[in-house]
Amino acid sequence: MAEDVLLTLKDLVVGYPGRVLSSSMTLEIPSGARVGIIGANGSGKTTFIKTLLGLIPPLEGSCSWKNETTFGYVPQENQIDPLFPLTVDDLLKMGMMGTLSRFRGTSRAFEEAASRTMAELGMTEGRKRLVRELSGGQRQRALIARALISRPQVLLMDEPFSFLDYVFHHKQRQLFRDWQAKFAFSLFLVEHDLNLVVNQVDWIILLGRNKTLCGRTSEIITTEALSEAYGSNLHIHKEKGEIQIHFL
Amino acid sequence: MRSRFIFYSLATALLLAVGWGFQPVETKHFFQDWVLWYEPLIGGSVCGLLAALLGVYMLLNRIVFISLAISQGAGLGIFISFFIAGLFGMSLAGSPMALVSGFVFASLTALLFAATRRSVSTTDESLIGLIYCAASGLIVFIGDRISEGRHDIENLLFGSAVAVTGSDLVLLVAATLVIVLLHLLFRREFLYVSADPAFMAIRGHKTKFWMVLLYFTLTLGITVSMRTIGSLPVFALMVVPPWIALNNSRSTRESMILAIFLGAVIPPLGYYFSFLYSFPTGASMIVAALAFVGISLLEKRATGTASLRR
Repeated sequence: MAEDVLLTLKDLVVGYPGRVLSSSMTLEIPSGARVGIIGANGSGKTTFIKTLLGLIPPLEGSCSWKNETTFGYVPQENQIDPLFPLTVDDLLKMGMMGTLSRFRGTSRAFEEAASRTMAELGMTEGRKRLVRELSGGQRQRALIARALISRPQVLLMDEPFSFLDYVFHHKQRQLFRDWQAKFAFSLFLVEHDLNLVVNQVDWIILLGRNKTLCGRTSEIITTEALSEAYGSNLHIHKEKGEIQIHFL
Repeated sequence: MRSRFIFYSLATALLLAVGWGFQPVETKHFFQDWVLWYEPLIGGSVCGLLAALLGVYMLLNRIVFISLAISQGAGLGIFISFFIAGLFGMSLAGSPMALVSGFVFASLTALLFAATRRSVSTTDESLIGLIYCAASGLIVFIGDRISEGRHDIENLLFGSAVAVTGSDLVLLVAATLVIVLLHLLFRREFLYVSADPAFMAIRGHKTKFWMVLLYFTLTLGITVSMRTIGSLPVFALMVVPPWIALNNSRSTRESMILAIFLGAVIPPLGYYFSFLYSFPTGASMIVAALAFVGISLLEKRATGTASLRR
């Protein structure tokens, strides 16, 4: 049904002037979908995400979101210059700017949302700590908290687990399921770990070297498509109901 | 935050005491003749706090030299107004037109920077350098064709730190109130858009608008301060107090408050030492600012040792 469509890609080509990074994509993604964006290094995954967010104009075609969609974004790396003496509390305020009073430092709604989000991410203290003094993993959690605090309809994450510790990394699949059940957001996930991503998304955008494929996970994830995209032989099999991908 | 505030208050008192210790008679005269000095003193202090407030954003955005480019833009506007007035045989002495023209050209300079920044493949420093060179070159060209009003132009461009009048003060205080009010109301927008424009744009905030408004306050602040105490002291006050405040800082609020405090006390200290030793006032302000750089290094060393002990 048309009202269920969250994102429409129409003949979309991404890249920079003089450097095309994808072939033409046409796709309709429904609300509540979990979308994985995969491809080899330099295939244009981050550029694709930035194009979806309107930070980079498409080279051709268009992408349009359902009206009044709200976004949360977790970047690949911390984009904040360490010169800024920003605290974790400042990051959370960035995520909830519209609801804060102009004249007061905080509000009850913000305090409740901040405490709840920090607890959900296992960060029970440290709101006054400077972002530049956090470890890579702590900083990544703080950036995830910033993206989630406003309960966005769409959460876009660009390799969000690269700095996280082993336990959190392996708990994240359950965490995503819990968060999606609670907050009902649509998820767009860029991730290098193919086994991690293909088993938790129902849509895949595969940015290949010569061709971009997009569609349902079961249709896109084939030995031929992945081998072509990564320029390497891959083997796919199912184990305990989950897709397992191995490089040969 | 309180301990840093107390530390720098004591450092200010110490500098005053040093002047008094070496020049007790001159110090007595300085305080006795306050009626002669209070307008430039207040003017300098207001310029200092304004420059320090704006300087925090300049340092955080890594565009320290933008104030020099904007000053040159203002200078170009002033030269052009005198040149055009000369063509029609008019005099701009005492007229606000030259200052208005300076402000318009300074705003255009800032807008040019804001519009091209991050959209062209060059660094901010190169862009600022190009703008500075263009404005300076045009000033020399146009200046060569201006026969009258050189004294008025110099007054507008470099100010006179010791000759601040009541009307200068009114203009400066009015502009400061506007700028401070805008920064109080939109402090989060200015800070967060400077820190992570991509995230703020994704969240639906008009990042270009907030950056242009920030540059507008920067331009207004530089134009009015420059004509009150001169461009070099303004540049020093935009760099030194924010640098000290951001060093060792635990929050943005702390940095802002400390920078404003230092910005407000450094110019009066400059006047004080200029009076005691008959130094040029602008240069005395810069030396006073540099004295605080030394003090801040002591602070950093002391706090570093204390944290190691903990």
